[in-house]
Amino acid sequence: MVRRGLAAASPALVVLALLLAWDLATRLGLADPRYLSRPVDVAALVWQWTRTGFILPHLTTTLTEVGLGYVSGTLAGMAVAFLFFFFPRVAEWCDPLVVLLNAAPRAILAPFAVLLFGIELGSKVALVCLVVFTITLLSLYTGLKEVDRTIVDNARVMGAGRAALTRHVYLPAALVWVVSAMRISIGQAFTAAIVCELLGATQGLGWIVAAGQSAVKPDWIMAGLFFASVVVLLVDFAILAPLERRGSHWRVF
Amino acid sequence: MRIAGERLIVIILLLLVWQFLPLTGLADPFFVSSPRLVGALVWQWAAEGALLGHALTTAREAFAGLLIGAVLGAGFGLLCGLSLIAQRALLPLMTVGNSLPRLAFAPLLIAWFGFGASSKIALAASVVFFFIFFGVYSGMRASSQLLVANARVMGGRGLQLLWHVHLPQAFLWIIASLRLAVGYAFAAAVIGEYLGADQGLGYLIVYGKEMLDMTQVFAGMAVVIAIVGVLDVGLRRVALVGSRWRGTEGRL
Repeated sequence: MVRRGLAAASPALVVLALLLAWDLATRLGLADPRYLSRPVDVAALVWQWTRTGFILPHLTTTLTEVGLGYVSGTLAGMAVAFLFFFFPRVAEWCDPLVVLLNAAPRAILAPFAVLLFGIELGSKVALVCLVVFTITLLSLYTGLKEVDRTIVDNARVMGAGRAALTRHVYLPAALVWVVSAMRISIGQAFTAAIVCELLGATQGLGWIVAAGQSAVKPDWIMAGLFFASVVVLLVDFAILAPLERRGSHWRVF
Repeated sequence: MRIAGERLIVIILLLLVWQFLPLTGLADPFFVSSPRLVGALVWQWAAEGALLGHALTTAREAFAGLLIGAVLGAGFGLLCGLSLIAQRALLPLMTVGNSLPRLAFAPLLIAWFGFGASSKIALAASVVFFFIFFGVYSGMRASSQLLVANARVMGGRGLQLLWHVHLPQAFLWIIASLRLAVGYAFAAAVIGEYLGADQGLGYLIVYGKEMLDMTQVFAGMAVVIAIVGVLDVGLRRVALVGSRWRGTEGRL
């Protein structure tokens, strides 16, 4: 009984040990708290920001950017994936571009987005949209090509045209791939938004971190990253993971 | 062959559109620059020798991070694959760590490790670590118990088992995850350089951004993407060769 409890608690114990080591290192003079801060200071800052509501506008800014970019990127990715699927010729022409788009994480395009679309909402939405677009496109396009021929042929025999096939066979199959692409892209979407905010913003979680960096306030950096991490983990594990599980359990394709 | 020709035509058409877009009045040359200017700038950098220096800086950071991240990731992956206690204690943390926006942690690492190469190496390593960890760990989970059981029957145990069964398999999984990791290691080095550096390709790009010089941003970006693209294609070849000797029953 005790052993099982210990096993369940062991990840928490590891985290606790790390926090303790961090705290001791700053207290024993092994590390400079001016650069490393202290767990207590960061926790106090997190609590203060939550209590005063300081964090709220920044949270909503980042969430808006990711949300807008997410929806537009997913829709655009779906549209282009279907285009590629129904017109393989176009897909072959565009292949080098897709490879190029996929070669490196899109977050490195952040300076580009900031220059083109300014330091307001536009640049972040554009970058998130591009990130999500690429992942959705690749995942869905591969997925569509793997739709079972038997199902397609059966539907054809029963008189389904391209429109009916899309509606009854390809779209339901696509949804599974879109949801799993959303799961993959959530982390990258937040990364893109935050990196973009680091390079030029007036609000948002990335702005907090950037402000902390330029003022040499490590507790600001850490508290900002803490909120960013919590948001990403909440969206990933509380919303998208159950959605993916629901979406894939009836999967027959 | 016909496809290759058609692709070439598409690419040339896109470059032409880019070059002549400002003439139509749809875009400001200040913002879109032009392929001719970008090409000229890359050529000029190459001729001055500056390109090689900056590229080497970034590549050194990326590969050092790759190496450290791969060794640590493979070590922890093996540990979690072999020991139930380690798996119990570490796997939840790894899952959480894997979904954190790690590239955004660059300012923190710069605060810790300074503006030099070490902060970029740490960032690249932290990104690569999780790729390799999950590659090795899930590889070991999927790898056949049959091989392990056979080796046991033949008297292999402890270090022998590790050396002859687990490590060769882990090596394959490392190669497989390395292809993805290379792109990310470069991105980590470049993003680290965006946020504080005085050399490297990321520094070139962000300097162009500060000067509102779109040509320089395009040129730096083109060099980064070219390097990552070449590495990607190269590693795909290596992975093919690496999987060849496994033969058909390698998929046990």
